[in-house]
Amino acid sequence: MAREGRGEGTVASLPPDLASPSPQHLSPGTYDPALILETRELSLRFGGATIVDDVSFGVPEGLFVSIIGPNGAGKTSLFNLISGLYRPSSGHVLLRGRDITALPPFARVRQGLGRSFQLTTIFPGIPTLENAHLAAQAGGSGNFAFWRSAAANRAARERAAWALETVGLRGRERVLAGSLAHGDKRKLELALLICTEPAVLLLDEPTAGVSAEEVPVMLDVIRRIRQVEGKTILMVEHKMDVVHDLSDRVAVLANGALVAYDEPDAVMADPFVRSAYLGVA
Amino acid sequence: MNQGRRWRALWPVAILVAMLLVPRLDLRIPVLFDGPINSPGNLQLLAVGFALGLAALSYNLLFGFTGVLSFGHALFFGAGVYLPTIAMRQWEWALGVGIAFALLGSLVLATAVGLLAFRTHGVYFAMVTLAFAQAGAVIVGKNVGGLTGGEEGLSLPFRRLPKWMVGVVNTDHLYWLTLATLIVVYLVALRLVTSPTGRIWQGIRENERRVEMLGLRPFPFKLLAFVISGLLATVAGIVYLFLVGGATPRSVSAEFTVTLLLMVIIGGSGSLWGPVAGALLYHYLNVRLTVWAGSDLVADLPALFRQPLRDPLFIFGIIFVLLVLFFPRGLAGAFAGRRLRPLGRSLGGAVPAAPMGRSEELDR
Repeated sequence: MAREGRGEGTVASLPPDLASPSPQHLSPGTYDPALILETRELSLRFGGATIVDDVSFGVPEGLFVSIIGPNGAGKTSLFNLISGLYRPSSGHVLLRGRDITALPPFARVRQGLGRSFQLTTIFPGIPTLENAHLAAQAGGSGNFAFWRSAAANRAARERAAWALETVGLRGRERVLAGSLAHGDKRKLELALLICTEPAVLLLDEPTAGVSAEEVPVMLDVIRRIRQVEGKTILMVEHKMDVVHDLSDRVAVLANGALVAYDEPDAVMADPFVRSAYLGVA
Repeated sequence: MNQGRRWRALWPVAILVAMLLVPRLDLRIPVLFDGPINSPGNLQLLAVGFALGLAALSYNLLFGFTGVLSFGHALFFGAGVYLPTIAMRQWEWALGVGIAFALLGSLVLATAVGLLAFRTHGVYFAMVTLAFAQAGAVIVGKNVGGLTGGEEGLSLPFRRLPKWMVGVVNTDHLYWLTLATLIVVYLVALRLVTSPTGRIWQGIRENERRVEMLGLRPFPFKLLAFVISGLLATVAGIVYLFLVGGATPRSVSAEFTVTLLLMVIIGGSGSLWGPVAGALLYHYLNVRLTVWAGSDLVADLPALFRQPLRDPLFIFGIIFVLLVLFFPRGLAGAFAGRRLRPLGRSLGGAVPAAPMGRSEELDR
């Protein structure tokens, strides 16, 4: 979590439209119906350290937004704030204009906010198809019907099969999820995610630990999810080249603060981002 | 292939029929059992094994299927042993009312303990449940209100029992009663673990955070598993009470919970029949090794071997180490023929290494 100091003056020296990327969404009490997800002046502080620094941005429905930034920039912390695993020190998270800051993680998922993790989060000891079936069942009702048969839930079974098909795990249904190759585990996590039919998908470095040859496959899966489902996707990524083609917008985090939020080419062209983050003179 | 599968499906039925017929079989199995298999002593040995199997099965719903390690299970087994005895002896209630009282008491107790204990996770949860069970053991041991009989325990008032349940000659009836209860509870457990709720339990065992991120709050599911498992342990306690004819403090002790844990591990956690087999094996060895240790064969050995072999626990310890080494998935895993989850993970699911570090792990 080493953080290079960036003077407060740097923010001031940014072009005004970058320092405050979407000022029209910041005024309290107003809500832009085009935005499905929004953060307002979101901050997270541990003791003296500021992990997430006054981040305000909105994600329009149906867009693919990537969050990039160096290690320790606060990308995952921002995700944890949005998905409810962390409570913010100040600020708000809004889903479809509704303040969800006080909701626990499971309730946010119920509201349509699905999330994947940087470290694969699946059910290793049960078969792949049962993983997806469990996710599809959990997204519906009747989870407390302990007198019924789980296998009788046809809707869940069909959705599970469809999700595995979508992420390219057909033929691996009977394998224990813990025995899958790493790339396949990552795909399974995406399948679990789409089984619950979220409106917004938060993907935390879906290509982390995936071999170089497999990265394009993963990106194809993500592209397919987007095309088939037309979902809003918010993705944390490490590398700019990975997100450039996928993204409608790119947000750049540095030391917990949002330093740029625009279309990929505009972000790439931004002199501050180029010098401070992309390492281009 | 298909034929083989059909035969394998017939095995449990064959064993079941054999078990049901045992009280009518005048069969001698020389080394394994003294006298005919249907002698009251042998029937008692098997029936107590079934009752303990029931308790192990109930414990496994919590430990093996939900991944929750509780050290308080003896409290609910003990409720099944003590509450009907107290109700019938001290308050002179009828048998049926005593049983209903035990089940209701267990339901209330399990809900209360669960509500409090599930505020914690992992090892802390185990410690809170242990504290409750120890409180129960102290109440029983100190003979609070003169109700429990203290260290001596309390015998069942036999005049309040129907005639067919009383006396050594009626051991076969109690054998059938216990076996029938075991079969019913087994079928109930089978439905539970294949139900939507059972799926969620297994999801919690495998990855509680993921269940949460599928939009479900794990707490009510864990509480339900705890209450159902506690109730079934009470059922086990009740049939055990009929077999042994009285309540003793051992049935509420932490030692008994550890015994249940051993039975589940020997049999295979996460399997339905495994813990029942584990309990039968444990109880059989526990009884038979004592007989064996006192035999002439052992008495003739040199002192170096004789002395440790005289202690059944020594032999049992060796058997347990060998079982865990060579069958980490227990008897069920050995029979399944393939290695599924090693033991370490089923324990790992129940006891996170550092419960406080969960969010750090996610932030990495």
